[in-house]
Amino acid sequence: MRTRLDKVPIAWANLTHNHKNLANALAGITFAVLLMFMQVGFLNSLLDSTVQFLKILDGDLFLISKQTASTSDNEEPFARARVFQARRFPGVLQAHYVHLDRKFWKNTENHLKKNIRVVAIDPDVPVFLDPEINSQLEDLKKDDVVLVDRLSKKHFGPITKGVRTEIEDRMFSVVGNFTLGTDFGHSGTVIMSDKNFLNLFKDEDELNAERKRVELGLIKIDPATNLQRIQEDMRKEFAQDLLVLTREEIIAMERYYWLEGTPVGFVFGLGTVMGFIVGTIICYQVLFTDILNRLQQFATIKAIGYSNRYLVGTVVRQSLILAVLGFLPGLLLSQVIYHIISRLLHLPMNLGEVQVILVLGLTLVMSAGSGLIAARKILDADPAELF
Amino acid sequence: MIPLAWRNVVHKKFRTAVAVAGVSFAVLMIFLQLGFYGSVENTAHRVFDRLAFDLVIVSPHYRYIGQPDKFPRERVYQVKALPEVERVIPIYTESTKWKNVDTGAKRNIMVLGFNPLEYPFRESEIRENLSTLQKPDLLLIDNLSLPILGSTEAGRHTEIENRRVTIGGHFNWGIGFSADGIIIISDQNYLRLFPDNSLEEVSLGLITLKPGASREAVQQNLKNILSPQARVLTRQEVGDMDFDFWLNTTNTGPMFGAGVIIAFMVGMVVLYQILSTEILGNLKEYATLKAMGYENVFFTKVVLQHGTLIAILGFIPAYGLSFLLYHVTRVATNLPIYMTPLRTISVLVLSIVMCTLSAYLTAGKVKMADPGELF
Repeated sequence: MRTRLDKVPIAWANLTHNHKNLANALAGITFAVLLMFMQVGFLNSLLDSTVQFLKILDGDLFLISKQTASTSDNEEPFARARVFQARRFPGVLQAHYVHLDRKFWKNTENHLKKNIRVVAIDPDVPVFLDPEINSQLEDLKKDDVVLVDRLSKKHFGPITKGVRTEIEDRMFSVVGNFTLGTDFGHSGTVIMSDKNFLNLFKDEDELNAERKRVELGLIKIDPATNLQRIQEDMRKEFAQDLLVLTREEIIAMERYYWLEGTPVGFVFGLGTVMGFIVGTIICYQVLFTDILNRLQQFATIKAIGYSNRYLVGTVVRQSLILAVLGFLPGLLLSQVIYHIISRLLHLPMNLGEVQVILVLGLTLVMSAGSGLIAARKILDADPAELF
Repeated sequence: MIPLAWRNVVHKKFRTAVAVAGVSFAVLMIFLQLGFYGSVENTAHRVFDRLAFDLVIVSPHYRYIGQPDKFPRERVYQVKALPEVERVIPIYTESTKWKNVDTGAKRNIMVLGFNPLEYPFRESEIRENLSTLQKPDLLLIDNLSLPILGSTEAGRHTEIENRRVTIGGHFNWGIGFSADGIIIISDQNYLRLFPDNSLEEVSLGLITLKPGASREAVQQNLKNILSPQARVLTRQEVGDMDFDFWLNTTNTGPMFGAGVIIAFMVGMVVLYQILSTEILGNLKEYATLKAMGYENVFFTKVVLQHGTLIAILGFIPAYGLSFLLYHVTRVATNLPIYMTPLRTISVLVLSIVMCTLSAYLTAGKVKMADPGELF
């Protein structure tokens, strides 16, 4: 009987004996794993990019119109007075508002006007978590100035500090930059003061209407008080026209909107499901064929008189080693491609730990499964026939 | 000879099935991603495919159908005066919100307005509803809008721009990624919904030429007349602009493009891997043939046949399944995702080339070997 120690070397030696076979099998698994990671990455980029903006906002509770299904795709206004009312709730430290809109930004190089997201705030109150934005709020108090997201797409032309261009036919100066990134509803973002924002409305009626409405309310709660209770009270008070959401809730709502309510969410969702099915099947195919090609080695082991258990163990172990060896370059390659896409499109491309474990788990389960099925064939066969 | 017989009888069938399944799913992934990418391409042509025109006048700031900008209606009259021009129809578009009557949630829709006396469409689908369009606050809605717009039964009321409107009828377009839906209204209702807009500001001017007129000559002539206040484009050019928007301004186009590239990369490697393993796995059979004295030509022929057979066997279920997945996508999203003959043939040819090439390259190494060593 063999000791436990020399079991691995047999599986290992068997694997590495034929380099051509090994390289083939590894390439197959690597690319199957890559397929799974890429599809998950596409879906992640959609869902993560749409909540990037919410994540830089400082608030414990968020107020939005009941008609708003997404703060990045169809933000609806509500009465600004609601934000002031929110300040009167006990336990509320601050309540501030944000205007969200889309305006035309003129590319200073080709003079083409492109739609850009405008975030307008009162620069006297810090509504952002991002220290880079907060350090530039003082500059935003000047007339006709903006901060521009440095990750806005190239078609906006020059966006660095000092650039002067038109937003909705009004001349603006860029006084600074910040880092946010694009999503599937916006290809760029500027931040300006609410005063400068209102100056964009030339029509008297429109201006008066805009003055009284906002798209987002941010509420800071005294940490000593019960957030849930305040949320409940506000919900009752604002039930007619507003949703009162916690940070987690508004982020979940945004992700849900894109995943369930948009064609692009469906496409990435289906892509991910199919990526997993196809990736798993390819893993199975590769591992199964690999073992079949090594039947004679296993037959030899069987003929020498090793126990069935030992044989099955070696087959499965060999399959698992192959899976792990293919998985690692697949993961690595996916990270390289994530990086390239992220740099090109200014989109976040990230992988969750759970997803890495899921893909690894699927690969391992497939390898064990294909190993067991192939081992069954060896056990059923007469050793003599295997040669 | 026992190993060969054993392989053939006991696991050859299963083994082949596993290889075919691998090829099939790799090909399916390619079809799926090409379909998604194709739906972006189709989005770019979707609305224009329904409009009748030889040339179209747009603003110099035209981006895509959802963001066309406007140009003065005088330009329409100016073009109408040309002897080669049969008619010019002004189209008014706007982006607005549709209120889901069931949930109250608002969604982005596109509005297309025109004078009901000047029918601007290629098909007569909307003609039967022209009298409906002429009534105040009645509209037609695309049946293939996103289901999330809520009930769109004829006779139901909803709100657009805080004005009560009534659904008067339907048409079947499906505009893809451009918006969650599209409605068609008369120019008079367009003014009712958007009182700040004016019929003097036009989004698209649809030009129909008189029979025999040269499109190129008229376009050239119009370029000189209209520049720089407006541009004149062919169907192809305006479609290209919309596609360019989806490809270069949004993230949707490039991400779907990346999906296609990944699917091809993975597909090619997997096809190579499978065929290479397949040939290596049958090494003994081939060695036997060689030892029996068969010529290399025969050997090559068998290997190429092997590759082609697996490619075709893998292609057929992939092709069938991709129709199913396209259908599922259409039902869920109303995206314009359809199989095209070009895509079918390209993917089939690519699969066969990849499979036979992999088989051939692998076999090349076998051919070099001494038959004796192969055992």
